[in-house]
Amino acid sequence: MGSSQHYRFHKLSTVQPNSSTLETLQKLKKLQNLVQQSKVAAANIRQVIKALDKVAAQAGQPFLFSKCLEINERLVRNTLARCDDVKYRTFRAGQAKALLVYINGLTDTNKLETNVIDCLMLVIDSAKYEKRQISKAENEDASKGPHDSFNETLSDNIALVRRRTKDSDLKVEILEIGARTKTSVALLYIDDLVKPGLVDEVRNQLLAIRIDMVILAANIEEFLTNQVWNPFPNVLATERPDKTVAGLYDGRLSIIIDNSPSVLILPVSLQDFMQSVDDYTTRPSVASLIRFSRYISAFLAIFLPALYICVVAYHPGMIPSGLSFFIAELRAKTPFPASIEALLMEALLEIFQEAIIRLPQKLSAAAGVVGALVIGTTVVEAALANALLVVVVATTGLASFCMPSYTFATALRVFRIPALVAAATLGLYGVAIFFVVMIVYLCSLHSYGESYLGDLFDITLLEDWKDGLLRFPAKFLKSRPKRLGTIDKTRKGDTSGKS
Amino acid sequence: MPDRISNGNAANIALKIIAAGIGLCVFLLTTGCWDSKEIQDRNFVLVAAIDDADIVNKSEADKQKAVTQTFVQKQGTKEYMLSLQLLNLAKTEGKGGGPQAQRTFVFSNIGKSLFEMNRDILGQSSKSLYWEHLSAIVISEAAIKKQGLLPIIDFLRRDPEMRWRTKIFITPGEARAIAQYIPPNGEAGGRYLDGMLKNHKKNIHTAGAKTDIGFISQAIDNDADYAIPRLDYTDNVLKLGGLALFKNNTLVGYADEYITQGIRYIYGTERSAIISAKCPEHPDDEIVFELFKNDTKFIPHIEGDNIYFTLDITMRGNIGEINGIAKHDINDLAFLHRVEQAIAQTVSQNARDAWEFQQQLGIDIPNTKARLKGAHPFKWKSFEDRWDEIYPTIPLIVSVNVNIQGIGEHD
Amino acid sequence: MANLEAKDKMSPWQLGLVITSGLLTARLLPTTTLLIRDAQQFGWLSSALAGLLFYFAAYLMIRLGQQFPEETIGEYVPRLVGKTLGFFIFLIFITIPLLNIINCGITITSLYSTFLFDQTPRVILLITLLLTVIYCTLQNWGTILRVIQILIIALPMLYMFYSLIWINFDLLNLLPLWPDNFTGILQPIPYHTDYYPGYEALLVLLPLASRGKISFARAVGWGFLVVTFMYVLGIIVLVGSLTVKTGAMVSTPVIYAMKSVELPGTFIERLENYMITLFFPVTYISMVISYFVVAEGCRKYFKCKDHRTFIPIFLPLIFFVSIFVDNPERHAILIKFSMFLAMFFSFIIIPLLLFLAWRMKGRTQRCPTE
Repeated sequence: MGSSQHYRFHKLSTVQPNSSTLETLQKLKKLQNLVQQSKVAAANIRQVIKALDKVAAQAGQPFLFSKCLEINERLVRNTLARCDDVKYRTFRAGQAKALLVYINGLTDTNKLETNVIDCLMLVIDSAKYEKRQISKAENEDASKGPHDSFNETLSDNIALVRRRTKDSDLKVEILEIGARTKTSVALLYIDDLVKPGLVDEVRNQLLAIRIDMVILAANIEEFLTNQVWNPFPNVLATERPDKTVAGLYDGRLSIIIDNSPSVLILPVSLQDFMQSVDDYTTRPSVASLIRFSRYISAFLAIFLPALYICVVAYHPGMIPSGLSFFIAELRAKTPFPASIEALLMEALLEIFQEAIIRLPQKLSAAAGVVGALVIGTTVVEAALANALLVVVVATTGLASFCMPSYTFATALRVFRIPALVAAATLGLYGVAIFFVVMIVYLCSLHSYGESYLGDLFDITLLEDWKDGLLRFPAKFLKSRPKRLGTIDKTRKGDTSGKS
Repeated sequence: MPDRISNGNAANIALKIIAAGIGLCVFLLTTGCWDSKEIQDRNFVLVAAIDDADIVNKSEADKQKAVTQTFVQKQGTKEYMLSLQLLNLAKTEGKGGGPQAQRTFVFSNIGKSLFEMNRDILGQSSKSLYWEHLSAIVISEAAIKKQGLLPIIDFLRRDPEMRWRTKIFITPGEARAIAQYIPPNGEAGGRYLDGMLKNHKKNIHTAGAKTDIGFISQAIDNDADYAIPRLDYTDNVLKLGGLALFKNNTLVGYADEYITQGIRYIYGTERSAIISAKCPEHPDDEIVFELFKNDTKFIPHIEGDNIYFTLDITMRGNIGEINGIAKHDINDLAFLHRVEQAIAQTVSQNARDAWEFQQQLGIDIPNTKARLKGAHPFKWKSFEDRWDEIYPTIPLIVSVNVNIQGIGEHD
Repeated sequence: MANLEAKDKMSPWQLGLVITSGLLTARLLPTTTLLIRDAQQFGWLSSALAGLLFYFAAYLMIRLGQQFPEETIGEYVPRLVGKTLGFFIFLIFITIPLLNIINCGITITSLYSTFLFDQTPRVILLITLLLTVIYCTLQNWGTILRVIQILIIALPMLYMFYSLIWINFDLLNLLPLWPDNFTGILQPIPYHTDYYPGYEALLVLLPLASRGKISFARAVGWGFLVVTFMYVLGIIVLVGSLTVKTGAMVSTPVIYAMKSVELPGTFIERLENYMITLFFPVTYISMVISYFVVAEGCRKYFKCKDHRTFIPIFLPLIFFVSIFVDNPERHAILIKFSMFLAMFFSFIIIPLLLFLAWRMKGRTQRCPTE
C-alpha cells in the first residue's frame, strides 16, 4: 500500500509501546470524543456563519450581493461549498468581469453554448458520450408517485436529485475511486441535517477503498461494512430519485456511482428495508396494515417451513384433531421424513427462483408456468411431497417476494435452511432458540452507530415508532428519524433558520 | 478506532463460540433428531374404552382371543380391559365402489395398569401410540364397580400428553363396543362422540359443560360430587342421555333425562332448552316453550339454625310448539300469562324433583357444600361435622319467572 | 466501524424495563404450587405483599448505588467493609444471579422436556440454551439492551395467552373471602424470590444508566407495580379457574390452567405449548441479564477491560450444577438455598451496607469541618 495518505492502520502497541492497552484505549476514547465534539462545533459554526450572511440579505437570497465580483464569488462559493456539480467560469463581458455559475446536468449545455458562451468564446464541457435516456424504474416501480429513474450517467443522476430540491445545503462531493478506472463517485448529503461526523466517516471510508476498478455500485457497497459475511444489506440501493431525496432529508447520505443506476443510501436499518414508496402514497391506515403484514411476511419467509416441521414431526397435538388427521393421511403417502421433504421442496423453490431470474423475460413466464403447475402438482402425485408442504413452501416464497428490497429478501432466504434444521433437530424449542439467536444477531449488526434491528423497539426512540411498524398520518410525522441523530430534528423548515 | 481493537479480542471468543456451536450442531445432527416422530408414524388414540376384564368370559371366542391380548403380570390381577380406538391412515379411497376400509380400528388388552396395557398394545401395532388427540374416554359401569373411578383416570390425568378437555362417558354396557362403533357418516368414532357431547348446549338431557376430565379431576381433588354423561349402546344404536352420579370415587346411581334437566336448572347451565307443559285450558294439549336465555341465582341462606337454598330462575324464550288439537287464543295476553305460569310450574317442579333425588342419594352435584362454606365461612364451622346429616334436610325454595317473548312464525 | 454515538448508556425508563423484564421467569411455575398450597385462595395477597417487600429491597439498592455513583458493588464494598469481607459479600452477590441462571435453566429445560418432548435428555436442551444465552451476553450492553427491548414483547403476549383462562373462572373457587389462617398468607412470601428475581442487577447496572426526567426509584417502581399487578390478577384467575386443591396438587398450576382452555373453532390447540414457547424468551432475558451482571460485576471488581473475559469462566460451573440437580430432592435444596441467599442478601446485607455507607458519608462530611 504505497500511497495511503488518508489512513494508515497500525497496531496500537507499536504506536504506544509503553502504556497498557487499557490506558491507551481510554486516551483514544477521549481523543475520539474531542474530535466528535469539534465536529459538532464546526457544524454549529457553519450554521452561525450562514445565519450571519443572511442578516443583511434580501428576502429569498442567501446573502447580500456586493459590487465586488471577488467578494460575491467568495460568498457564492462559500454557500455552495462542497457542491462539486456546480461549475464556475469567469470571463470578461466587455469591460466588466463576469462569473458564470451553473449546475452541471441541470443546464442544457447546447443552449448555454449557443446563447451565452459562443458570444463569449468560452469552452464548456465538450465531452460527449452515448447514454441511456431516463426511463421508468424497472425494479422498484411504484403505482403512484414519479416514474423517472436513475440511469448510468453520473451528471444526469445528480441532476435528477438536484431538480427535486432547491436547497443550497445539498452538498455534492465528487471523489475518484478505482486506481485504474478512476470512477467518479458522488457523495450527496444535506449539510445542515446530517449527523456531525458521519460524512467524514463515510468519506474516509470511500477514500480508503483500494481497488483498481469500480464497475458496480456493489463494489463500493462491500467496502462500507466490517461485517463482510453478513447477508443483510447495510446500505439501501435504489434507482428512484424520489426515494433518494427523501433519504437525504431524513438525514442520510447517498452515494451515486458513475455508470451505475443504483444509488446507495446509508445509514439504514432493517425498518428502512420494510418501507416502500407506496406506503406514503396510500392512506395511512392501509399503509400501516400493509407494512405490518410485510413484517409478518418476513417472519414467515424464514420460519414457515420450520413451523411446518414442528407441527408434523414434533407436536401434532398443537393443531385441531381434524386437521391433524388430514395431514397425517396426506403424509402417509409420502416416503420421506418431513425434514428431507421440506429440504427437497426448498431446493426446488430456489431452482425456480434462480431459473426465472436468469431467463429472458419472455421465457421466464413460461418457466414460471412450468414450475408452478407442472412440477407443483406432479411432485404431489409422485408422492415426493404432500400438498400441504407445497402450499407451505409456495407461501414462503411469496412471503419473501413481499419485501420491497430484493437484496433483503435474499438475505431472508439464507436463514430459511438453518431454521429448518433447528426445527428438525429440536422442534419448537429449536425454532424458539433460532428465533432468539436471529434477534440477537440482527441487534448486534451496527451501521454507523445504529443497531440494525434494535432501534425498531427502542423505547427512547418513541417518536420513530410512528414510522416503524406502522405508518402514522403525515400530520404526526413531524420529526426526522431520531435514531439518525440529525442536527435539525423537526421537519418544519422555519425552526432551523431556513427561508 | 478503538472498537476495532476490542472487537479483535471479542472476535476470538466469538469465533470459539461459533466453533463450539457448529460442533454442537454436528453433534445434534449425528445423534439424531430428538424425539422427532413423524405425524404419519403415530397411531392416534381417539377413544380409550375401559371395561371390566371379566367381559371376555361372555363369549367363547372372546375368551380365546383374550389369551393373546394380554401379558404376563407378576403383580396384581387382571382387572381391566383397555380398548383403544386408533385412526387408520392407510384408508383406501374406495374408488369404483370398492369396499372402503374403516376409518378406525380397535386394539384391546387386559391387565391392571392402563399405562402398561397401553405399552403392551404396541405388540399389536406397527406404530407407537399417541394420546394427544384423545377425543373420548368411555368407562363401563362394571369397570367402575371394581375399584371406583380413581385408578382408571389416574393415568389419564398424570401423563402430560393428555388434554384436560377430553370428554368422558359412563356406559352401563360394554365400553369396547362403543369404541368399535362406526358412525354412519364415516367420521372417526372418537370425533363423533366428542361432537355428540358438544351438542349439550342444545340438548338438555345430558350435561357437557362441567363434565370433562379436567373438571372431574378438580371435583375429585376438592371432595366434591360430580356427574359424568351416560352413554347407552345397544345393537348398533348409540344414545347419549342422563348422567352417572359419583360421590368421591364411587358410582352412586344414574340420573335420568328428567333429573338431569332439573340438575341443570339448579346449576344454571341450560343455555337452550325445550320445556313442555300442560296447556292451562286444554289438559290434553302440550305447549312447548323454547328457552333461549336464562338467569339463574342459586344462593345459600343461613338464618339461625335454618339452612335453606333459594333458586331464582328467569327464563326467556318463545312458544316453540303447540301439540294439540284445541284452538288456543295465543294472542290473548292473559292466556299467555297462564302459559308462562304453567311452564314456570313445570320447571320449579323439575328442579325440586332433582333436588330431592339428589338428597335421597346423598349426592351433591351443584356443590352446595362449597357454596355454603364460601358464603358463610364462620357459620359453616358450626355444622361442618354434621353435614352429611343436614344435607338431606335442606329445603330448596324455587321461584321461576318465565317470560314468553314470541309466539312463533305461524299460528 | 466507529460507533458514532455512545449507545451503551440507558435511560431510567430503560433501566426500569430491564429490571422488570428480569422479574418474570419460568421459575415461578413450580413455586406457584407451594404458594397456593400455603396461602390458598389468598395467594394474590401474598404476592402483592411480597411485591411491596421486594420493591423495598430494590429501593434500598438504588439508594446504595446512589451513594457511589459510577461505581458498582464490587468497587465500593471493599472500601466499606474491608477487603476480605468485601470479597465475601461480592461472592454472595454474584452467586445470586448465577443461581438465577441455574434455576431458570433447570425449570425451562424440564418444562420443555416434559411438555414439548417425550423426556428428552435435559443435557441437550441445556447446552443449546446456555450457548444461546452466551451468544447474547458476548455482545456489548447496548446490543443486549436492544435485544431485551425486542424480546420483552413476548411478555405481554404471554400474559394475553394466560388471560384466556378467565374463560374457566368461577368465583365459587375463590370463596370464602376469609382465610382460615393468616400465617398462611405470610408464609409463602420468601418463595417469592422465584417471582421477583434478578433485581440485584441494579447494583451493577446503575452506573450504566444516565439520569433522566424520572428517577431510577420511580422507573423501577413502575416496573414492580406492573409485574405485581400481573401476579395479583394472575393468581386470582388461576385459583378461580383451578380451585385451591387442584392448584396445590398439580406440578405446574399455570400450565395446567392453560391446558384446560380450549378455543373451539380456532386454528390453535394445546395452548400450553404456545405458552411454554413464550416462556422461553421471557426467561431467556432474565438469564442474559443475570449473566451479564455476573460478568460486568467481575470486570469491575477485577478491573478488567472486557466483561467477555468472565463469560467462559462461569459456563462450566453453571452447566455442571444444572446437570447435578437432576432429582426433586436436590432441586428442592437448590430452591431453598437460592431463596435463603437472596433473602439474606436483600434484607440483611444491603441494609447493613447502606447503613455503613451513610455513616461513612457522615464521617467524611464531618471531617473537613473539624
